[in-house]
Amino acid sequence: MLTLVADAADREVLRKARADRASRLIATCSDDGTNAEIGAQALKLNPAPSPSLQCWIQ
Amino acid sequence: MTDPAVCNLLKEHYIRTRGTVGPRLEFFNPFQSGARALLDEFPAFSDQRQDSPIVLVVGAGRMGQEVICRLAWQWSTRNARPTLETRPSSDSIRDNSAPAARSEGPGLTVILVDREARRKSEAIRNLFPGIVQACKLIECEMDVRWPEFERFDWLCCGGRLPESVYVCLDDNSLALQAGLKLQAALKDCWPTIVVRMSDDTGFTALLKAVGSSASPAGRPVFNLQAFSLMNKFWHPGCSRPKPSISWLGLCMLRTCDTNERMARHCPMRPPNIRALQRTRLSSHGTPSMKGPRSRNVVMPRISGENWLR
Repeated sequence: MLTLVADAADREVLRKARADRASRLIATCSDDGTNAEIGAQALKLNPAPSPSLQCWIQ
Repeated sequence: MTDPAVCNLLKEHYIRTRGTVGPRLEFFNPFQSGARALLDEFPAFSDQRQDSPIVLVVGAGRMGQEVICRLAWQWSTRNARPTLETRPSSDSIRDNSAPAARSEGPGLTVILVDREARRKSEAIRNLFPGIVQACKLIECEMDVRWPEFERFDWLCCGGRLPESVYVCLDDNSLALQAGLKLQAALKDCWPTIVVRMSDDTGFTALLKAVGSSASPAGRPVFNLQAFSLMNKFWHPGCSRPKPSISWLGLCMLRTCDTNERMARHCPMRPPNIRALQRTRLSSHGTPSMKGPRSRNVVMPRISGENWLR
């Protein structure tokens, strides 16, 4: 398991974690706003018309 | 300064006591400038509006109060938009001195939703007496989490629904919740729903990322506009998408405003000095200063010390 100690709402961190190639992203932070932003940033990483990424936001 | 009263007092005190050279402090209230920026970006009605618009404001906190105050001022001066000369100070509606205040014709109706709507609307009327002439406040005493809120029978005002909605709650999550509920309730008339957010992250990012994408029905997924207070309140001109005043005009405006404020707080005002002169002159039997302009005698300049004395 790869672990990154960083801000998950940062798009560069998501890119480093290869979220643009992932098929699933699960956001389970304690703050709803942070989870929402992680989802929003992940969508921006994968702007294709039919994105393969599926985000699960707590 | 989050407290508008403290902000105004500090401004007045600082302007009265500061010197003319050196660095300078500017005090601002984020809710006053935020409300101005909010209504500049998402106006509730046009200047040419003749019939009575209905506006819904959810939350009567500091931001909500400023939004109501600003709406009332905009409505009362809608045909006399401020120019460089007539632009009001931020306190004009507070002292009931809004320029060209119009009492005739249909008024603006504001539906205010808050858990303490009656108490807060009374406080608004006491703080800003000019509001009474400008708009009709309808209080709906409820919390957005209460079941009464979701009945939406309170939304209808004289058979009409609100055309603009401003959600001004301090909690981002609660504000989004209220906005989404209202979007579902008002899906037929599709009004502009503006949700005030504290910053540009979190839910604001989500609304901006997802909200613009169209649903199969051809409408945006969310009919919600996120307004990030943090991004807007600090800008001197309250950033506008298309500025109506040039940068030069803005500088002049700020100078006029500052001069006006300084004149207002000048310890010795010209009318008082004239009254003093009249009293002294008449007591010595000298002719009165009253009369046609041509008969007035030009007096020699008085040095600074004598003037103050």
